[in-house]
Amino acid sequence: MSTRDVVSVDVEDPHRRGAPSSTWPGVEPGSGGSVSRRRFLHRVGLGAATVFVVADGLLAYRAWDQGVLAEGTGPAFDALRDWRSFDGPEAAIAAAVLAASAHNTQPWAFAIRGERIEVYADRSRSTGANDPLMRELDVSLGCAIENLVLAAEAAGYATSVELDPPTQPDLVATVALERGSVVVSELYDAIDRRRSNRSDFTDDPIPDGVMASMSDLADAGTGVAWLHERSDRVAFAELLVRATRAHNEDEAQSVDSFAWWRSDWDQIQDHKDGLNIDGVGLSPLVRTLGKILPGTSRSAADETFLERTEQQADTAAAFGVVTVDDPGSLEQRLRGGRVLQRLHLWATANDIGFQHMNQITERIDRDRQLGHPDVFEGPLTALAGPGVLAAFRVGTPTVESMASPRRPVSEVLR
Amino acid sequence: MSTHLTRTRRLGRAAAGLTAVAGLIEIVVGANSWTGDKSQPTTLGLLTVVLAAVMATAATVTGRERTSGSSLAIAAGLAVPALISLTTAGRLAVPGALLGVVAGGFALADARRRGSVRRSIAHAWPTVLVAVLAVIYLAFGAVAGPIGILGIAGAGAAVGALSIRHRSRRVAAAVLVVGVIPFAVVAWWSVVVPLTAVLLLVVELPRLLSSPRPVSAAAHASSGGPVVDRRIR
Repeated sequence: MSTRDVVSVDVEDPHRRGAPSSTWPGVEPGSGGSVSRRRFLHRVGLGAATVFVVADGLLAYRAWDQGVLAEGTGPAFDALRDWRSFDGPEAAIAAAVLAASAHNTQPWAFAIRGERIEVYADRSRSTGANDPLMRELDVSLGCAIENLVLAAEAAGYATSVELDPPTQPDLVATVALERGSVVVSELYDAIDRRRSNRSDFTDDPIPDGVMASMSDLADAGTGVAWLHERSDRVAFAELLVRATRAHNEDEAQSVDSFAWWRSDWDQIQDHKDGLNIDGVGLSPLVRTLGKILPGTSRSAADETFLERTEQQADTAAAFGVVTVDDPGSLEQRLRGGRVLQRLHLWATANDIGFQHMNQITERIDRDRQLGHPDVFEGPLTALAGPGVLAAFRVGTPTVESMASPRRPVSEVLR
Repeated sequence: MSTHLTRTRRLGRAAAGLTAVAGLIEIVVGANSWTGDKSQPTTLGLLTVVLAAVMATAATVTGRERTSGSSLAIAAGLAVPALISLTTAGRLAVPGALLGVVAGGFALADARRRGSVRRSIAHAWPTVLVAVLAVIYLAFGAVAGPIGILGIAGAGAAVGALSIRHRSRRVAAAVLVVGVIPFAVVAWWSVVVPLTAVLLLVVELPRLLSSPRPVSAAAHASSGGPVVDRRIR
């Protein structure tokens, strides 16, 4: 063979064209368009493969665009990754922005004045008809203050907190910082791992000792009541489900809740707040399908909210409530919020699932705002005692909860 | 090198340079209306630089190609990243993208001069499908955190298996299977990764395991191939 190779090629014998055994029926013999059966099948296979690859490409684009496999990444989650990299008072604020807040509204702003941090309420970030008396917003600020204090102590500051100072209306607290010893508590270490876990919980009970330890976290003027007996849990679960139905039937509440729903990846990254499908407590596969399929409508979101609440209420190992003497007092709401955050961090540090359950208190305030007869407060007081500020459930989660988006320090500093 | 190849190479290099600059500006300046106000400017800036590197590679190998198919690959290497860069770096990518598309057009014209573009595409089509699937694997591997290394390895295995199949078909098939499956298993819930893995195996495995097929005479001739023995069967 010469340097130019000789290659065997398929060239059909013109005398065999049209032979049934080797050509595709229906092709005109001698038309020049005859195709061998093998080649026809090859082309069909390649065509089918092309269709599937194109479909896979479209699916991949949608999944990529919706952040499938990229959960917890991007600028909306930088605050969770970077919070330990700050120094001085900013280190405390970097922890404060990771606190729990109703609907993940993060209704806070901060200012650093020398060795003092001022905590402001950002009332433009309320949940509207869901929080007409600003109870949840104030409790959320209390949660932020607790993180702030824990992080300040870990940064070597001794703190002095003044709640509800009588100056500007939106200034809810000042935290004075003085040089002190470094105190790194287990609660501080749990700050970035804390999540509201909305998955079903297992049948495992919560030991009495755990509830006692959590109750010990309450401050003077606050308390923690537990509903762990089956009859109490069932009664509280019924109240929860009724409150959720009432929420869905109240269009203003439904609309104001949905306003904080982030249905696509770009919204999550742009807003860095609100709720999204990663936080609903669904299995990874269902979560992925929820992201790939078209965005949900408000009514569908309400239905899912009810279904999830029924499951969550049904699988709670115990419900807890934080109580204060006067749930209408800003100072006591902030104090109760601090306790709530402390409970959540303790649960996180001890691998206990924890979820805030706001539906009943939201309906209590909504009925009060509208002048409706009391439907929920009486039964709740009968179950948990007076002064209920906020409720939660605990248990052993079946699904790991995902990180929620956060506004960074630079966006909350005044 | 002919004048038009020199022109393609210069245009391609200029396109790559401008695109790289666009990517670097996006990384340094961050979100900006000129770069499309992206929410992840650093990541997309890096991706733009990678696209520029692909264009630069295509421009550099311009003139070394001998067949219509390789000219076509160069055309794709210039024009496709150029078009993608429009979505990663906004208006700042337009100059580089325009030059890239023009350079790709010249490379395409060169491919036509060398033979039938249609036949070249048909011949390379299964490889194109594998490349698309490998890119999907690579893209998800790049964002999937620690398990993403399996996706990157899977993409490498898919491409690597094609390149070693002439040495040993069985080894190539083993590389494909062992490289692709782990990411699909650990990311089973992502739907798209296991689906891509199945498609990679369905499209690529038969090619790797089958005997090398005789090349179509016309395709071979059009791609500047050797002398043909027209044996009637």
